Amino acid sequence: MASASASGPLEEKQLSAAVRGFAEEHYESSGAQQFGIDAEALAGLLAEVLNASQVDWHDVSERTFLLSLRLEELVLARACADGNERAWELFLTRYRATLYETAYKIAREESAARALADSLYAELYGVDSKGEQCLSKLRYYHGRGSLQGWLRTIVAQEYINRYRTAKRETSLDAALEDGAQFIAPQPEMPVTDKRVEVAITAELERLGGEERFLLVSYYLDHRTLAEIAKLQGVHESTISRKLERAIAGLRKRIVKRMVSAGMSRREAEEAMTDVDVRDLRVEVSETLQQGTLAPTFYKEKGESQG
Amino acid sequence: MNPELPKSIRSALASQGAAGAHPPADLLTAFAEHTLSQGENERIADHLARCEECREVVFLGSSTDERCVPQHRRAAVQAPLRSRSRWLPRMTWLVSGGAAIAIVAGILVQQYLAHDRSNQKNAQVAQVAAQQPPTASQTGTPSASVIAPEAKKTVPEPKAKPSRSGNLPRGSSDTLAQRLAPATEAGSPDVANIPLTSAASQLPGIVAGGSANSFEAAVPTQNTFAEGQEGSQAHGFTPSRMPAAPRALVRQPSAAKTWRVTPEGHLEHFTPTGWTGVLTDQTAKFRVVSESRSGIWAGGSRGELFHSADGGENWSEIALPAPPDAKNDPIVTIHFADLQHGMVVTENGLRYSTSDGGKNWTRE
Repeated sequence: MASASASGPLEEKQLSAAVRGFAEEHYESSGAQQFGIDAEALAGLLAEVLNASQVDWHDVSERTFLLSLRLEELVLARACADGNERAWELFLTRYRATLYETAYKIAREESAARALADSLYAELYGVDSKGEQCLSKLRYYHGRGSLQGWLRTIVAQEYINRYRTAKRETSLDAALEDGAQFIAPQPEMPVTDKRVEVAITAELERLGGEERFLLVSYYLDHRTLAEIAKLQGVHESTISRKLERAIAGLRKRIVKRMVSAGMSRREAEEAMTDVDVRDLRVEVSETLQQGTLAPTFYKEKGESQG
Repeated sequence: MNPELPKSIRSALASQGAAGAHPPADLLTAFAEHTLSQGENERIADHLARCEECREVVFLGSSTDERCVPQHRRAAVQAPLRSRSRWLPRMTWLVSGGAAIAIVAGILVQQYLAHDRSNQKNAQVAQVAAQQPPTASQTGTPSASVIAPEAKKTVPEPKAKPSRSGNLPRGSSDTLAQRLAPATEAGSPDVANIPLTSAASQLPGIVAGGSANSFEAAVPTQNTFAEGQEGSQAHGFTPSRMPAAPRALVRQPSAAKTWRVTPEGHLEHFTPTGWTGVLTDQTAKFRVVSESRSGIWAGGSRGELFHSADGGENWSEIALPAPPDAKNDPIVTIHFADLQHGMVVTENGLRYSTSDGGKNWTRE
């Protein structure tokens, strides 16, 4: 059953010799045999993953891509999606705890976590909210990351979906009872000079995805350095340095662009500084505070002499 | 403290263009696990920068991953691995080289010691041989005993002693003698049990054997051969003309340690209490004993063949299909290549083989 359904949707797809060869080469290590998936079906599954991926094949070779897949987990997920009982036993043994633990960590409340995990479990099994058979969610797992990580991601997605739905359904009265404050958003500083706006937009568009993600996460989402560092798998200081470098580079490029657009260097530099009186006030007060906390050199010297 | 982002840039960042379709959970997971290619990573990061919802998902998913180890910690863990992996090939070569040197040094030392021992034994044997010169009638092994004195006579003493460093070419008689010497010593506590049969030299795996007087003939022959072959090469003799007896001395030490045939023709087994006689009720004088996976085989001087399949507890006599005129042909070689296939060779060159573990024998 597993092999038939695994190869079914792919019959029309052309399997390259490389994919076939790879499937045969890794057939044993993939554990496909225990779920009744033959080498041909495995090749079909790999071709499906290849077709679904949006990889730039100039960037990475087909074989490298296939090697990067979590083949064993992919096979397990597909066997589960195809209703293989042995695969389900294995899946539950390995991942049931992950599913429920993740749900609990995200929801932080036992009943909500259980409801979240249960609904997801049903979706993984191929049963929708109405109790009708549907395509198992596991079919969308393509082995690009770990199956455990994928489960965490879908739990997070489901939680956010539920949260948003619940928020939309919350009445204004209930929100007021909860003490929600409807504060008008703080108006951003209007950019008066068109050249500044053009320069900023153009340079932001040129910004790399990673830098942009860092800036947004830190400055707009107010994620901590630790959070970003954890996601990126680097040290906080690395993130700090990256941010510093990104901002310095961005400023420099924007100023340069503004200068080339006809602004004087001083004007361009000023446009990059927030000439907000409130900001200035804060800086002055901080400076004054520092001055009072740290004894000045001459004072220290005078005391020691005295 | 990170630098502040100018508000103009911040507001521009917040009003970026649409993010497009959400990437599948699979790719978001791979992004969080850093398993994407450079291009894909950049693309997903760009989407995340523009899509608050996906950013939420990624950060939420990442926050629940307790196994997520920051790279500085991962680097600390991987650093030794990396450095080890960098040094591993070199270390492998060093270890391999060191092992090779140690092996060569061991062989050289062994050969050096063996040479010393063989010299000592040769001196002892020469002393014994001088007192009791071997004769063909005494040895009972004509092929060896006859050739040995000839070799002594015809082959002159080598002009130069072989060097102790063991730098002789492999296969030379001296090297062979050096190799044989420790085997002889280790093989049996009694030097008299060194087997010596010309027929046995044809087959590997000979365990032990010899006649009552083989000792006198065997050792000088070995010595004579060892020196004689070198001498023969020096004098234009072909090695094929030399007796092959020393090759028969290559025997299985494990078996030689536990079974032997005494110079008097008794079969003995080594037990914790010492050497004890086996098949003492038999009148047969034993010539050869062989231990193999098929059991213990003992051959007598009148063609008797005994077999024990239980390590010497119980014995049975096997009748060989010997022709009437060769009934009393002494068995000089018993060899089993495996559990089923074996061969027995008599002194007169008759060969019997079995392919069923010794139940049935056929003459070749």
